[in-house]
Amino acid sequence: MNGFYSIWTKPAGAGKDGGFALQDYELACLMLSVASYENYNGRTKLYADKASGAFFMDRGLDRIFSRGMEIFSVPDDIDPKVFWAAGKLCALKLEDMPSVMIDTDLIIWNSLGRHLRDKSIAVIHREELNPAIYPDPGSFPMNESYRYPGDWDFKIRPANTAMLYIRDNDFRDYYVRESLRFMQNIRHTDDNLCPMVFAEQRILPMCAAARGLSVHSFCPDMEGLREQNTFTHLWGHKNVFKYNMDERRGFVRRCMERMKREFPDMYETAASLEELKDAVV
Amino acid sequence: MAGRFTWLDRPEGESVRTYDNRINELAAFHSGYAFLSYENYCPEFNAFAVYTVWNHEFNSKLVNPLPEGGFMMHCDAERAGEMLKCGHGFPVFVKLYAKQGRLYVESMALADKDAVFDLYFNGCDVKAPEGLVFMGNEAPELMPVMKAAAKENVPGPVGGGRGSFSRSSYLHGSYRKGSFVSMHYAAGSYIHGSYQHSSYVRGSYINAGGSYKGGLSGSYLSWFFGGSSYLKLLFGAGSYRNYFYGGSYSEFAGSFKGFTFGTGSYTASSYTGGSLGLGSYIRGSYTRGSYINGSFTGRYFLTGSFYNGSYHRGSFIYGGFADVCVGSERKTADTVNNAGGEDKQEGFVIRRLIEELGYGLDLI
Repeated sequence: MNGFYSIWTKPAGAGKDGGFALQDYELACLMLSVASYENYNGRTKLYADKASGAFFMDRGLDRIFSRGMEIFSVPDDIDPKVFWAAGKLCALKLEDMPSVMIDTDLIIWNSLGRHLRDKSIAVIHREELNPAIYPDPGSFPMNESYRYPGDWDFKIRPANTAMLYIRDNDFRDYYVRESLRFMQNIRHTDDNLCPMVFAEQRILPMCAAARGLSVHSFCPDMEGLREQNTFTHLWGHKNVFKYNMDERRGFVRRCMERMKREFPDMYETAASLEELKDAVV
Repeated sequence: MAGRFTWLDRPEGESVRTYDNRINELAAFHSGYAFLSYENYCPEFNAFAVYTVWNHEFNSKLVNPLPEGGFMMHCDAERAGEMLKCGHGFPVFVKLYAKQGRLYVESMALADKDAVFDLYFNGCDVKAPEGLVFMGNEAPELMPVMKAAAKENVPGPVGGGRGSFSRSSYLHGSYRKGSFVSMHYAAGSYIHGSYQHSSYVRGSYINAGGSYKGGLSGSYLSWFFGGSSYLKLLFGAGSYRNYFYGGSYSEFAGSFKGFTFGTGSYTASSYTGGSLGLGSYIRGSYTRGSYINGSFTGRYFLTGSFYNGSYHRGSFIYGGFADVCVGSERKTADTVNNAGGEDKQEGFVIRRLIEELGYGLDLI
């Protein structure tokens, strides 16, 4: 099963201090993720914008993805501050299905094959329809011409797409088209959470239901995330690494140890990087 | 204009390695202030969620600029109580770390007289205080952005003085006397006057509208912070009192609406809209309690925004998810309303660990 990652640097304001750079914990996590996915599941590819592509090329890291790296872009009329994850949707548009979209801070430790065999769509987990995060769609400042499709059921629980599997290109096209249409039709807003998660997490299961497809979830509820042994997702813990150097060093070191033990080729590459030299084990 | 922290830049001619070494040899230095409040204290974990204000120039030089919230600090209840009485922000010292010419934060600590408390980031929520008091005269210099912001918001006089003030939003000094109208913030060791529209009043001796009785009669008092044994009675003339902290002999009488925070050895009345109670003995009937903490004999806690057996906050808990606390138990509003059901709500800290701080980290 193919898998792919994407990096769109514009939301983070790449270039303000001379260029894009992944920090050590981001790099260690991504390299471990790629190594593990390729070991258990299949070949990977990176969709990178120009800034992040240069970062990977400079270090020879485009070669860690067995399907290589492809430069992609996001339409200019999508606000990067509001739709900071739009890059995922644009990369998804380019990837042939079936494939697994993987966040760069997510590691998949097992084979997904048997779980996905008879599935059309699969996500890592579902979200509660909390109105503070998923408000009434009528509250979004949409252009007058925009209309939500009449067959969408707004009561459907959102789906977290840190890992997203889609079987066929037809549904992929429908989901990406509707998601981008929403992003491109919202008027100016400073809300950088609710519109983004609507476009990414709510539209997906509503599109699926409209097509009569079910969305498989590896962890149907949040409680299941604690017990599972398939995924590591840094999620908000990335913020801890930003401001807590002890935690950060410990994490990077554990990643390096794991790579050395299980994925020695990837470890060799990692150990040669200036960003990770302090964590060589 | 050159800033105070230009020495954190890498000058032309200084190699990355030399720069890294120079920064990594630096001692921790004062770069911000931390603000503590009862609302942000968790007695179960003996920890504060800390609100921080950073020097803008310093912060802008970091690869990951420090946020205002999300920091945790362990501190036992006794010390926490002492620190809360101080009424000002505490200096935060930051040890920097440089790698490949980029600046990161190595560690942070809050300093209070003879003690240092480690600050560490865990992403916890923190409620921002309504007013900020910096310690001494150094603060405004350290906080040029804050100072500028304060000026913009203060049509009236700023700083010490006496007289009659109107619409002042920030006052700080050792003596204040006068009539304050629409005052947003006052701090000092002696505050005397009549207040209306006050939103934050703090001092070791507060006398408002009378001598030694601490009576307040404003109709829009939203924060009243005493901490004094002289503060004994809060009259119930106002209808929008939202925050009250008294000393060990605080007493409340009357019927209050919008009453939010009470502490003391004895409180007894009938409250509507009471949101937070803290103390060894609180009696009465409560509705819409939103933050309950302590040992209670209170009876009714309904439709509260938060529960807290010992700690809770978070705007995501509303309506059907509202929690209530009765004594040491905690139940959801749904549980109360439906007379049954399993309570799966967890403490705030644990909740964030699951939902926002990642999962499967132990698999690496």
